[in-house]
Amino acid sequence: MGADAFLVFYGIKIPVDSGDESLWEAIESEAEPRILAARQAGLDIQVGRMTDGEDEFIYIGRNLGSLGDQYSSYLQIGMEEIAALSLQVAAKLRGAGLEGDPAFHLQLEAQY
Amino acid sequence: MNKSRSGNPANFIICLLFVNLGIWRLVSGTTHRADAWAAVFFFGLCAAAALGRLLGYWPPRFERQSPRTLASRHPGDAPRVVLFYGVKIVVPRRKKKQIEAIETEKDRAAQQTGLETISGYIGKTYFCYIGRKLDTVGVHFSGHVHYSIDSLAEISADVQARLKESGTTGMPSFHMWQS
Repeated sequence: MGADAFLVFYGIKIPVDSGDESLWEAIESEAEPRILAARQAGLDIQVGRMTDGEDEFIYIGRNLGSLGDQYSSYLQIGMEEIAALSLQVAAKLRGAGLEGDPAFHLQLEAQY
Repeated sequence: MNKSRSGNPANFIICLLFVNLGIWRLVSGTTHRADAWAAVFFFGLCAAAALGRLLGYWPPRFERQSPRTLASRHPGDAPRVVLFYGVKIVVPRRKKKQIEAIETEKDRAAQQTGLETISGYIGKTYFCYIGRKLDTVGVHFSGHVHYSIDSLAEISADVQARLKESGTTGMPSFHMWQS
């Protein structure tokens, strides 16, 4: 069993259908249009899933760090830092033509 | 646990034949003590095997373990992350009087203003969080939580007002730690 990780991210979460093979091929080859747009806008991209076959996703925005046995055990972020980050991420998402309501996310990525 | 039982009458008959053979050997006039003990041992073994077979407990079955699922994991082996907004106070463990004062202060702050507190020791360090516990994320908790910037600002303003009311000093922020 591997170690669980907890992703801390500010941005939009795009659910991905695990059965959509063409979409996964595009994600893996980095040809997916939203990923390309995000990369060009200088945003962070995190592709993952909560566990096998469950809650697969793409996060686009700003990666604030990861917690877990293989990462940090503690993270601290001030409200002012998140507020400033939210403005920056919102502007970049608009610039990239990516829709969605950005938010602060704490996401489990379970490993086995 | 669902235990499958599949006793087969044919096996039982075979066992009985062996049992009869053992009994016959025992009572067929042998005067050798070793033969008698061997027959008793044989009889016992066959009887146990037959009974076990009938009840479905023998031979032992080694079922293939099914893949682990999130729900099957024991809470003890599943890490979790706590999300907390507030002030963090850290004091060396040896400063007992200061720790006692913080403990008293945090209890008073919690009672007066409805703030939450989490305190304890990690190694040689005492820590205390005063503010609001927002969530716990993990296998046995939510797998994902999210907050809009407006809700974070609302939480921040509310906790800051309560901290000020309680006279707790320090700069509040969002804390996340694995436990």
